[in-house]
Amino acid sequence: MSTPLTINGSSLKMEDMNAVLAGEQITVNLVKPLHHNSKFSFQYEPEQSPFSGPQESLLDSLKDYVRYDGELLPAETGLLSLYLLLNHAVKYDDALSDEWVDRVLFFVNHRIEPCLHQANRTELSAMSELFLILHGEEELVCRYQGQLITVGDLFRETGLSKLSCTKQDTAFITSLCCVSTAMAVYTVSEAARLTKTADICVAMQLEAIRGETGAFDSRLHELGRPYTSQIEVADNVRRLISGSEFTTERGREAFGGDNGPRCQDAISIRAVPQTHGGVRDTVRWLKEQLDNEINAIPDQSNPLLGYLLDLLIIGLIDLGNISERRSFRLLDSKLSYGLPMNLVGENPGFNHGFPVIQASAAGILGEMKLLAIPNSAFAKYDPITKKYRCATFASSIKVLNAVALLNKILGIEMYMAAQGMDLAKAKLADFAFGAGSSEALRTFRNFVQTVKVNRFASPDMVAADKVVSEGVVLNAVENAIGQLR
Amino acid sequence: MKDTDFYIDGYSLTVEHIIKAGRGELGEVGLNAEARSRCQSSRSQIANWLGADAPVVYGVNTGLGNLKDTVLSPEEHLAWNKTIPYPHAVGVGQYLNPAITRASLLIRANVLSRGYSGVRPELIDRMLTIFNHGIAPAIRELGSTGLSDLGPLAHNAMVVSGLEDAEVFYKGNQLRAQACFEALGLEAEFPLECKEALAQMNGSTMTQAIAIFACHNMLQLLDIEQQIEGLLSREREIRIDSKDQINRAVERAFGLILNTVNFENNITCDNPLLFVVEDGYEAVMGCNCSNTQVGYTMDLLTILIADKANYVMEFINRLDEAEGGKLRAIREAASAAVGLVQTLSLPASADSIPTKANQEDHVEFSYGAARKAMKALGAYQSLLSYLFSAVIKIEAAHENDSKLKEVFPDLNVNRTAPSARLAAGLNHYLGEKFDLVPLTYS
Repeated sequence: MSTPLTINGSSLKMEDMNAVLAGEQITVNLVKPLHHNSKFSFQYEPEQSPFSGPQESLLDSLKDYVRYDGELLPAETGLLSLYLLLNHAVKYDDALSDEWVDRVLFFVNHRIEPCLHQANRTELSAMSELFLILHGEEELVCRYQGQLITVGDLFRETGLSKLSCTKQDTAFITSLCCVSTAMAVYTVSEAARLTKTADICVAMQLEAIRGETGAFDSRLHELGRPYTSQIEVADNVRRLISGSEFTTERGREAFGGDNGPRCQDAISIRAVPQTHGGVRDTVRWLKEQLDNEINAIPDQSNPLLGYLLDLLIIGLIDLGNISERRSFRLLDSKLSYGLPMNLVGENPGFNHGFPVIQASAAGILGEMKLLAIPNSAFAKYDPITKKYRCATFASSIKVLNAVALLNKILGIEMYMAAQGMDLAKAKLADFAFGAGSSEALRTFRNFVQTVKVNRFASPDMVAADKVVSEGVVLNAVENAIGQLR
Repeated sequence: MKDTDFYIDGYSLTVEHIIKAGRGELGEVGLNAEARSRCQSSRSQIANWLGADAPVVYGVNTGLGNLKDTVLSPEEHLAWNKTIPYPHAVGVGQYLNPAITRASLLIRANVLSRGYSGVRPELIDRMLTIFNHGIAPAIRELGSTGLSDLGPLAHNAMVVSGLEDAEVFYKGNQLRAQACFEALGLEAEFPLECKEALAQMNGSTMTQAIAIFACHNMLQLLDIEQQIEGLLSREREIRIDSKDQINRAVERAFGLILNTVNFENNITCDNPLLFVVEDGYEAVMGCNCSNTQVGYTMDLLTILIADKANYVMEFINRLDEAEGGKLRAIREAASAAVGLVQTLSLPASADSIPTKANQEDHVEFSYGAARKAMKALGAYQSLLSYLFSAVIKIEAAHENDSKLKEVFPDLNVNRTAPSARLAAGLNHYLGEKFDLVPLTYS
């Protein structure tokens, strides 16, 4: 149990949010800001709220907006939404009645994570669902003590009772955009995992093809094109392959896959600091804005997060682009500097190797590219209400899909690079891999074995996907060589 | 204006500098003394690598790209420099705007002045001389991926070295570079030394030049929109939902774009780079020609324009509503402009196609992203001219033009002209008054 988190409307930090995401139980100490704005205290404006009917039909009106079916959003995002809700409510007098504030506090202090349904594809619907969960709508779902549980059972277990809802509470909660902000916070953390994992894939790839490491020389990045992100990636890769004998002139000569000096590898290898760096910047830009936005949840909509989420999706797709090309190179002996054609372990011709596995990365990438169309460019004004229909929420859902697909593309690269490492090692048994890349291989092999003969590909791919999405290899590598940047 | 001198040093060039220098507002542009000595120092190393027993250094004593394994003698290299830009100088379609290609010379001179590229300071002087004389390379618009603008930059190298087939724009005329130089009393030819062709062609400087003007146009258009909206009389003011949220979001996101483009002005983007070591310099190969962030931010810029366009369309719709449907023709054309911006929002950077026998197997398409942003800005300019004509028509109908005369005193258009013609006139007026730079030459 860590020290309580003070929530006063202005000092919430992304580190706090990340700690919540990491599963830490963080209790909240709510402190009204000294100069909170009673003057601008939230006023219920019936014409502004969709819930302007009679008090007794409020719940029904809310339910009109909420679907109860289909897939759930990550539970952490429901919990983060509650922290954001508190952080906003504390700024206003009487915006939210005490019993509602207490209810939200109870949820966060007991780490009860509302699980919202993906089918609720607007902020209003999602916030309505959040409201209904807090109220005690029995059929809805939370995660509590690691288990999914219906709100009905949860309330019986914890002794909570249904809250009555007033127009004021309803209007306040449903006017905020906590869920898309929470999703953006979650995305930043997922994207950080992916960018680091992609660096690990590159290190494994370099070992397999005995890559030229000059392109990762710190001077190129610190002096030549000094983007912080680019410097970080080059540094990660150098640390991962530190001590490697494969990625040396001696390794290349001993393996015998080159005709003369390598000079430079293909762009998908040597532009890694620049491309992975650019992708990291799309993450960093979102994160930097979130430092501010989590303390300034605007009413109704936040187009800025939508723009940056759309850009982040472009970055993730580009990470998929470059990863797929690296996987491709491993199939061809010429491009892989002498690895067996199609990475076949033994008896080529009879055994097929990886061509179809690699092609599936291309197929998934094609699917991923379809996500590139930016929702923000198609935001519109409702012709009847004249309200701006912000696209941020849609982008925040879409990015989950992009993350899920990229997990798979990187999983395939890791699967193939691991095979390449084993095949290289088979030829140069006395040579050593780098500190990080050897740990990556060792860990990956706990889940997926070297492919020597024809075997069912799908289970391996599913395992590789899981290894990436759960950060298994990443955690092992970071335990071995320290945190990646 | 020419007596103010402005020096480049590779570390401090901004969008604003480039725009002003292009207009001649900074006077003659020269190379900073410290940068000059940096360049001299790294260049001296190249001479050492031209000796008989020198190591193989890519681009100094080898061929380029897939021919990197072909070793060239210094003599062969000099002869080779006279032809090697030609097969790189790809390009089809219309000519790029000379304002853009000319700016690319300045940007590139700044990049080289960082001293990591190992070129003679004289080469930088030559580029600046051409820039200072208002000469612009004639370059066709299509043919670059953005992973190095090899095609456009090879044209620049042709012009700089005065190759026979090089063409330029000078004061609105297209002519042979050599003829232009001779007419102005400049050296017709400037033979490139070893590494100097590569050092000019490698990198994404034309994308950068386009991005510079995209930023400039965006800044102007944001200002124009405010000015046009301010023309409406108080009694006809219109309140659009989420206006402040959108403006704030666009402002902050555009801030990221501007920072990135400014940063990218002052980087080194060619190969190999020379770094100081104990006994001289070491050449290191990398891939700083990838300008990933520029492509991304240009895609982002189009997204911002699309959301602004969406807002302006709502503004026009509401005006029309208030005026009882008198602006239907304007709405018709305006919605087409919005549609155009929306289709342009498809990100270029999310795509990549392997090129050059799989050596360049990931490309940025940043060039396309920047071009697309310029097109979207053009469509947005057109949309604003429709908004402008709507506001003018409304205020004219109410016999109120005091604000118009105050804000745009030099505007001289027939306010009773048909909407489409009025909008065309306003589009032209805005372009001239605010120095909006189109992508291509017309």
